Amino acid sequence: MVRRYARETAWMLGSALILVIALSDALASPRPFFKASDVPVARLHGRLRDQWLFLQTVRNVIPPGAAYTVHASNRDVEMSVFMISLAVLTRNEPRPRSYFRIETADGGRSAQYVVAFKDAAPHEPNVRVVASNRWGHVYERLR
Amino acid sequence: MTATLSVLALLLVTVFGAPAALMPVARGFSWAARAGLALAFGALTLTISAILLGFAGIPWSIGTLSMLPVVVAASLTWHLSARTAVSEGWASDRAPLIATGVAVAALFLLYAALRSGRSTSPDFVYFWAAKAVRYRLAGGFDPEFLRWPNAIHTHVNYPPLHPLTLAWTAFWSGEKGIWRYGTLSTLLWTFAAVPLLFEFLALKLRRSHAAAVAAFWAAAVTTALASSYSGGNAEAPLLFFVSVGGIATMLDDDRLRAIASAALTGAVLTKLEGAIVVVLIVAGAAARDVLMQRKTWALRTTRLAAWPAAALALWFAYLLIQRAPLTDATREPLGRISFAYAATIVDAMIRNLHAGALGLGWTIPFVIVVFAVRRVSRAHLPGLVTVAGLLAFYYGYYLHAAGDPSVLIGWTLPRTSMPALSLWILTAGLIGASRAEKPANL
Repeated sequence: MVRRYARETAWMLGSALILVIALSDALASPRPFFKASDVPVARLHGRLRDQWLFLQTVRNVIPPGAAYTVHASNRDVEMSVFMISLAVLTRNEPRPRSYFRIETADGGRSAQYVVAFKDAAPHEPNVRVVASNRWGHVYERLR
Repeated sequence: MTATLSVLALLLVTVFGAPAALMPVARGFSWAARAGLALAFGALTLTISAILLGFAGIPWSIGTLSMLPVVVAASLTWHLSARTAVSEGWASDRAPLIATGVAVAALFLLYAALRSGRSTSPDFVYFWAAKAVRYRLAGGFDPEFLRWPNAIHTHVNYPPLHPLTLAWTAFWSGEKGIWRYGTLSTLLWTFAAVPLLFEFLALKLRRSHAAAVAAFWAAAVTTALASSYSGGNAEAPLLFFVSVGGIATMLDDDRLRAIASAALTGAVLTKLEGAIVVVLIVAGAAARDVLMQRKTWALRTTRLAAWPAAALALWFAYLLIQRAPLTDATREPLGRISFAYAATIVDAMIRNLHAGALGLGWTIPFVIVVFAVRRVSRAHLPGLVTVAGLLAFYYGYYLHAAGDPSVLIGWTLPRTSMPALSLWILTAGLIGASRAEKPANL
């Protein structure tokens, strides 16, 4: 009988062992085990969460149809914010300053709005801050 | 309301695929397994419908996207309802309770990981959902977006099944539906696969044995999905199609041929990696047929590969017509190989095949295969060729990396190795079948 069901037993014990490891890993995580996340990236890691939340606030600041560019403290973060912006700032036209760390031909200079993450700023004349929060600022280029 | 509409959208996809659940071979399956088949077939017809609308320049809406799936579903339902089931009365007994409990526990753990955001894929926000949102707003694939040089990070040449399914739900429940429930698509596809794989395994194994293998598959795959941050990306639908297509091919029964071919078509329409898996499964099936001295091996191979090849050709033809890139500029250039890190790659690959549980997902099937090694036969070639071929493919891919690829392997292999993990478990399950286990009466 035991021999007959040896394979079933092996598979079932293996399943149980995997689930125990998965459960202990989940419980050891500093994140809540079952609490629903309010943001898709909330508990992945903080930086992405901040970028997401920042862009959500920007969404209602830039007028529909207006072009925007993204500034950040380094090119990797800039790329990350730009990528997420394509999913969030869907009513606006994206004109990235850099793409995969390389400055674009336009450099985002033709955009009317600058979405500056954290401490980044456009460092140029004739701009005004139109919105500001703990995740960053939105500047409008005055022409 | 958003949740209700999202569920309604997915139910409609299942209705589109209803004919798959009416196939004679599927009529003996449980309702859960038949619903899984219907979901997959529905997503497939929806994707083909979307590509054809793209060719015709017709904007997407719930109505236009539904037209072709409704016509296909209605005509196939009429055709299939007149045919007699060949397996009725065979699968009336239920899956053993303990195995069912283990599978449910595995799915619950995955649900908890997705719900809490612990396992969300960065690519979900970077491009899967981004593409879905853009598809929905543009009412199509948006050729301008496909051609835009600053969109190559979204892998515009990737086949569209996954973002399209997300976009379809957004047509019903809005963008909010994607952001709130998109990651649960990973749970949906995994949940759909388990009862179906159980039914397939039960065609060769006694039901308690089939249930134990399916429960192990559920535990190993849900843990691998959660630990590799695959929430909301295309890994779960790819795993569904690859696993169903792989096992249907390995079972080597002509009555499963349509399911195998459709599932492999789903795999190539989900990710380009799916095409690699499909090539390997088809190569394994061809090797099996040649070694078994089947004179019709060429015809059988063509039949298996024809639909996936046609579907991929359809997608690339669309990209070609739209002058969108056919290749992925974010990938390492082909042919620029360095062997400087050859040993490092082996080491890093072994370390990253942990599948979230100390590698048990790989080692327990390995032990089963060792104990049943005398039963390894040509029939298992589609699975074995695919597992070995995929790992070899990724080894070759990492040889193309500039510099030490250890970090790249850590980012990608836990995710990209899952189709091989899945087929390894299923192949080991079939190898472990004792001689006393009689094949079910198909």
